[in-house]
Amino acid sequence: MIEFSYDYCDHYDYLYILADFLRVPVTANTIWLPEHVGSGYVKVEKLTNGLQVLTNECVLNQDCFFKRNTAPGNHFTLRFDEVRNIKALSVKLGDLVLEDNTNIYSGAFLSNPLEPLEYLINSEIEDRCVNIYFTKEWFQKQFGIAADDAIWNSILPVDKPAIEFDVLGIDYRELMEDIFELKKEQPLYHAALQNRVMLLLEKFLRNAYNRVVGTSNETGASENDLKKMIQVEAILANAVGEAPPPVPELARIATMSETKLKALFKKIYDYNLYEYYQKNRMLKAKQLIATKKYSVKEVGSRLGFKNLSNFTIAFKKQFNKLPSEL
Amino acid sequence: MIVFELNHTDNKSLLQKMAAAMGVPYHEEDYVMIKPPAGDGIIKIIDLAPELQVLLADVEFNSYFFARREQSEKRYYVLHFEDIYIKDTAVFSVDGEILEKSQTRHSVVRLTSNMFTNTEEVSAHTRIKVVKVFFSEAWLKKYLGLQENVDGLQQYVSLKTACFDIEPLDAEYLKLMDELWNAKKDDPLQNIFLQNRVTLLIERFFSRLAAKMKQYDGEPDMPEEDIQKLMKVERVLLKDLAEPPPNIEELAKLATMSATRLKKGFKQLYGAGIYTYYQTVRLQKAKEMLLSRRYSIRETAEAIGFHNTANFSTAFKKQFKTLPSQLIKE
Repeated sequence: MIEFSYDYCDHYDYLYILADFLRVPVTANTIWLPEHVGSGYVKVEKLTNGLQVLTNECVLNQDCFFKRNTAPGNHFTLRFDEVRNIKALSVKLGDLVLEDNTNIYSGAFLSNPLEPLEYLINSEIEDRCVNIYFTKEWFQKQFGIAADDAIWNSILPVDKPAIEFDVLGIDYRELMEDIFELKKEQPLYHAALQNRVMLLLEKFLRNAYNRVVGTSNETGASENDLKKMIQVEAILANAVGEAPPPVPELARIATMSETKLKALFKKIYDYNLYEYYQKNRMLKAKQLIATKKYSVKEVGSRLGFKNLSNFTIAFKKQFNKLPSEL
Repeated sequence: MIVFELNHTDNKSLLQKMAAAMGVPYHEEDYVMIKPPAGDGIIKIIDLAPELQVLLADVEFNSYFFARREQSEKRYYVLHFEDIYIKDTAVFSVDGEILEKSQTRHSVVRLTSNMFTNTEEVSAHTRIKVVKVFFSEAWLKKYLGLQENVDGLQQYVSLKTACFDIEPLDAEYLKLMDELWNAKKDDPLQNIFLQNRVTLLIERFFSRLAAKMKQYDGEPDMPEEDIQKLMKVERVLLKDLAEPPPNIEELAKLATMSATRLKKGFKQLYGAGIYTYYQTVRLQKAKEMLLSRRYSIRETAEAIGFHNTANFSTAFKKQFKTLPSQLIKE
């Protein structure tokens, strides 16, 4: 087990502290994990509008425990994670406790330096993460928000811990997927990265705002219901190669009626159960094709399509492009 | 006749003068409602960031409109997204080069700069729907993350703004423009919402420009002649939305190319198949009509060629995820 403890800081400092701890060099603001820890990278970039973005894609070879200690400062981190192969995952941020053993976790949470963060993950986990760092001042300037705006100050407080959580629906995932597919050599790399990161931030803050003022779609979902929905979403997100469990079974898992399940799922994730399953499956297809390791036919059959043309039609419906055009 | 001499760097005082000339008030939030007898519509200016400004106009003037942008010192660019139904004639010029169009839909993206004199003249009663994005050279360089002359993109940009290098407004551009127009006034994230859409528009334009440059280096992608032909097809396709669209054979004949080449080329240029594009544009038009609250659902359906309102509602819902009746209620 690797235990890493550090004080809250910006992404660049974090990268150097982590590199020091792992005894690896930092090249082009990127570190590659040493083999005993895992494989993959952690990268930090500064956008032209001043945001710092940390991205990582890695598979761990050891259990890891990260502890971020409190520190002074007027800044925030917003972290989007897609984690697979979970045996034991536990995230503790004040009252926010996420424990997951449903194989997949995906979520986004906002924090500031006033609450310690503990993050425990098992070996073999696959983690893809986009982590945005910004100061309060940056936010006010960039978003044109007054310093005394009460609602925004409750979402982004400076005198008490900030804790906001959001589930990652398909729109977030598509943006993350775009970010991981960007190639440094492409001519508009910086602009494209900045736009996608800003869209992630916009979406998260909009949802947080709506929750505070109570116009959120999620009104009525208790914390318990929300946890169940995350579980259902994980099952759908997991079932890429086979048909998803039928609605009655999902309802049993979520211990609620089918009607409630369907309505609640749509409220939280914006799509019907089946639509969501299908969209997620196509996103996975896009991911697989982007690796260039599989033919279109292989991807289709991996995703459980017996008929290749059904696959290409479904793909085209979502991305407006044929798989072969990627 | 309305004549305006424009200065690239001060759109607000220009709009103030325009308001005064037309006898309508200039609102503090930088917008002007154009009213009869001058015309009908709205023009507004939004500052998104230092050296990034956007002008939105949806307006019809009752007289001939002429605007001229002179060369000026500080290097500025304007990215024009123009969706104009030209009633009689319209003439655009860049550094003396002239583009004249009459009685057609002019729906293009083009980039100009203040290194050259630009003029626009539009005949009376033409519906002008445009998004113009103004940015300085310094802003662009920073946004694109350019060092000195990386990729030659900058050089290319300078060169291209000396003449017409127009790109059609495809389905994706139209969608982003629509989002700008439908931004909610009470949105707590309005500024960033607008900024994100505008930067997506810019990103899309420049990434396509970069892709074109690559093609110019190697194989030419699509001959200029084909682009002209396909743009003609697009105009004919959208000429009268109340009537059924021409079939592929007719369009192929018009373009003097094979049906296969037509379909492939159209898709490449407009980002969607011919009838998908047709459907997107006419439903977009329907949405505008409904939001104007001047037409009933039945009238709107008829205007875009649906004789059965149920079919119209289904198609509308498929496109916008909401029924026409729900849209009106909002």
